[in-house]
Amino acid sequence: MPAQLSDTLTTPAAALRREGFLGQAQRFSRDPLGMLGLILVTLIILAAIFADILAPYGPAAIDVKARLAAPTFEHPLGTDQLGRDVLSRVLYGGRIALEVALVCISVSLGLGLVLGMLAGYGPRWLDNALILIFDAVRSFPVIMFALAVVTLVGPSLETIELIIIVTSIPGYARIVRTQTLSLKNNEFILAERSLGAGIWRVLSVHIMPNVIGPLLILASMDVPVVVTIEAGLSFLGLGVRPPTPSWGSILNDGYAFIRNTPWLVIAGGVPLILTTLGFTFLGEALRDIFDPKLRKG
Amino acid sequence: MDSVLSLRNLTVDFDTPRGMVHALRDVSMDVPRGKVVGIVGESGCGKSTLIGAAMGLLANNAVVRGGRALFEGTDVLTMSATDLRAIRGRRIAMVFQDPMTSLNPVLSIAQLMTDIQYRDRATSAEQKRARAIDMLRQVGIPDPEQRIDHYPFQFSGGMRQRIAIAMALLMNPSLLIADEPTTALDVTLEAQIIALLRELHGKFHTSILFVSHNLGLIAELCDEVVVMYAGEVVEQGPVRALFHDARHPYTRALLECDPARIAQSTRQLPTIPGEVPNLIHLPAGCVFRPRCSKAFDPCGRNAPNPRPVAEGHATRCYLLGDD
Amino acid sequence: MWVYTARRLGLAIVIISVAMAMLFFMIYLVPGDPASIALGPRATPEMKEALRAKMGLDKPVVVQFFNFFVNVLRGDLGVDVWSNRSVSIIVVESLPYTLVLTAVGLGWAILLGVPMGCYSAIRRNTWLDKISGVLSVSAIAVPSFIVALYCLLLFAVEWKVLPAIGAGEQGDYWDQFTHLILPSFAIGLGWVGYLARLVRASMLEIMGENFIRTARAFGLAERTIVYRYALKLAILPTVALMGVGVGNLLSGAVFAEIVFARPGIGKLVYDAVITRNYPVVMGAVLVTTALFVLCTLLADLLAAWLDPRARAAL
Repeated sequence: MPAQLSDTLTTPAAALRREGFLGQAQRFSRDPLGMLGLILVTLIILAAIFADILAPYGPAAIDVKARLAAPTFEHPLGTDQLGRDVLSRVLYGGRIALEVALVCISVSLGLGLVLGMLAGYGPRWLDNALILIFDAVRSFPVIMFALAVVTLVGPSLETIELIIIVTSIPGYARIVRTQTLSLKNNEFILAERSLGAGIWRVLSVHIMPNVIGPLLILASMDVPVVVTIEAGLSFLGLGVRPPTPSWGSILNDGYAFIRNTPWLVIAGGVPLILTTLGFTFLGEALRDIFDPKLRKG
Repeated sequence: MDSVLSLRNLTVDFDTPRGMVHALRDVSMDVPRGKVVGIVGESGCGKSTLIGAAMGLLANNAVVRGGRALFEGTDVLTMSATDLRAIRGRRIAMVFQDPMTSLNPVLSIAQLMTDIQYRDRATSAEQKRARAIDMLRQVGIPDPEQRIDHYPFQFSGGMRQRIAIAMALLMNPSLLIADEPTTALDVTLEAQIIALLRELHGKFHTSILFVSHNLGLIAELCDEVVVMYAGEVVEQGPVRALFHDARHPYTRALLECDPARIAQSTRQLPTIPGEVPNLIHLPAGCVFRPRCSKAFDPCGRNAPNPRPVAEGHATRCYLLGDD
Repeated sequence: MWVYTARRLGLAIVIISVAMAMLFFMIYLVPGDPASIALGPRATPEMKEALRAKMGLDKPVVVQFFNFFVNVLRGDLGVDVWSNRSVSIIVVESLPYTLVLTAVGLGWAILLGVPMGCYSAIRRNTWLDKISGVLSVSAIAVPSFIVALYCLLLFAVEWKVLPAIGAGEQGDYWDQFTHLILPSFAIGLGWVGYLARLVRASMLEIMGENFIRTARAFGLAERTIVYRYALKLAILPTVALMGVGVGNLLSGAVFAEIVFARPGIGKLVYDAVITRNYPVVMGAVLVTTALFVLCTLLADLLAAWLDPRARAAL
């Protein structure tokens, strides 16, 4: 493979800035994985929103005579051990997954933004204290932390959401803090402050727009993580309470009856796989377009 | 006259997303055995492509449209990869521009210099090390027995460039290519490196191809000069002839613009008006015409062929008479 | 170098202490009597009294924490509410199984991930590169417990080629090995993808560096350039990031142990959670957290030591 000794082209970054939104949308459409991700995500969101209409049965409708059935025309994904239609449960399970993602990510993003700006912009001791707390929270393997909390408080969906929020905040806060720190002593900030601009103005008008981009990309990459944690904990029986359907709880049932039928495990796993893949592909494509520097791989 | 390197009518394009870049056009030049030939030109004139062609190290998107690059009689551009690897580092060696990044940071100098002797299966490791130490001494590295085990980051830029020269000359190549070896160094170091090259050239009689944009260095070191502009050789000849009797308007302009040659102190430094042409969409006729103060009718029609000025001195310019 | 090590070690200890504090004070955030919570539902009034006296619940909270801290340093992590056995002993008994599982998982990752990343970098933008790119992203995205479940379903239940449950007979190494294959693969797969991408990016960056160009100009064999010059350097950043991976692998190990019913910290904690056995949970979480922090520290130190520039600078 011959080596390159010269390169007379201009950098792609400058070219990107000259594009507008339309240009970026065009570039996105040329990324096959990104498009696939977009399609998957759209389908999943639509399926969750229209679960009422799409589901042939209610998620808790019991029909013991048809228990553990393989897929048939009446039950396209089969039934579980109580005779409930798995397809319906999967569709409603999507709602749980996306609701958890929406709630947790928006709350932790918001709180992370505030805390990050506080740490970056505030006094040194506050920064040090916050960093220490962030690092300590991040030092727990998330599942372990979740198990500790659940032991004390008892399992429920709200507990899971709380755990996810608490463990997600440091990630967002760190990014915000780094950006804030680097911008804090930037010349235009100093100029603004010398003109009498207050803290809120500096933070909201100058620092926040620079921080939002990477934050949103991180958030979209976070969705599969959050969905996985919820599903994982529900799989352990420590998340949603029955009869609420969650993909994790379907997997739990599937695991218990794995020698009777493989279909429960398959049905619970496939939507999880599609969701995580879809959001990951989408997030990666977005990151490639908006901030290739974030790419670590 | 026996030439170590002989480029004949070499034309190289680069296939880029923006179009076909005509990097080299009908380039012919020689490096006679035992001589020092300098290539002078601005950034983008094709110096790097020329060197790449000489070593068979062109980029993947390079397209050789025509011509030959003969190294000791064999065309480098048609050689197999194995044969190319056999001559690189052994018969042709290169010293690069940036000494700070040219050496592997996690290997010691001893390891680097032993690695490049890998072809010598007959020599033992101790002998290779001894040869390396001796070469380091010759380029002026103090206390080479100790320092050979140091890492590149423990040496200054000037020292690293000396090490690079030592590595290049280790296998006693026929041709040493020096790609702007002093551009990244300050003036005192520059003078030392040039003196070192001259001394080693005297000692080993290695042919040298010296690329630079600095006319003063060319004048000091080289026997012959090749002036390049926008992918073409516009003038070439013995160094004295070129400096005292430059015929091409570009060469004359370069000489006038050299701050070292300005006789009267002035506030305005002379420049050549205009810009380097776009190598994808070249103007018709002589490539220097848009910036030439002496351009006249034939210059706009076809690019001029090289015509002789004197013995060994040629230039591409209609000012010397019609084709 | 030693100053740096000492500083990092100090920081690690501080972080672990803060983590400990969080675990300890969580008990107080929960409504109810701390002793009941600590002892679980089966606590008798006598046990509660004994614990109150031992924990010094009448003393200020800070003093209680101090006592707790001192106890931990002495290796006393409390007592299992059901069996009355020392938590430390229980945790130490389970730990080796989890460590072995994690190590083998890491082994999968290195064995498959590094070559994949390396070849992708060399054969950049070919079909091999693109396919392995998609596979890498997918391996990272898909949750490890799903992989575990599907492996169980396919290899153990449907095809019956590998065992489904347990860690194998004590002393029978082959049996233990076959029991390790599926669970370690499940937790390692994500890391295969991650390492592949990391190594690829690292290699590409290095292959574009000037000193690689120099090596080529000296006619060194491509193999020498790739392995001795590029890969050696490319590995450095991955070592530091592996430390972080251990935490990830540990989480995966919890699920893998439960799915494959293997003994280990994961299964231990899970059983303890079901029975509201907080001392065991807290002890296990503490140990794994400390392990995680120390692994990260070790990885960082190793990475610094491997790079001669860093070694000299520190």
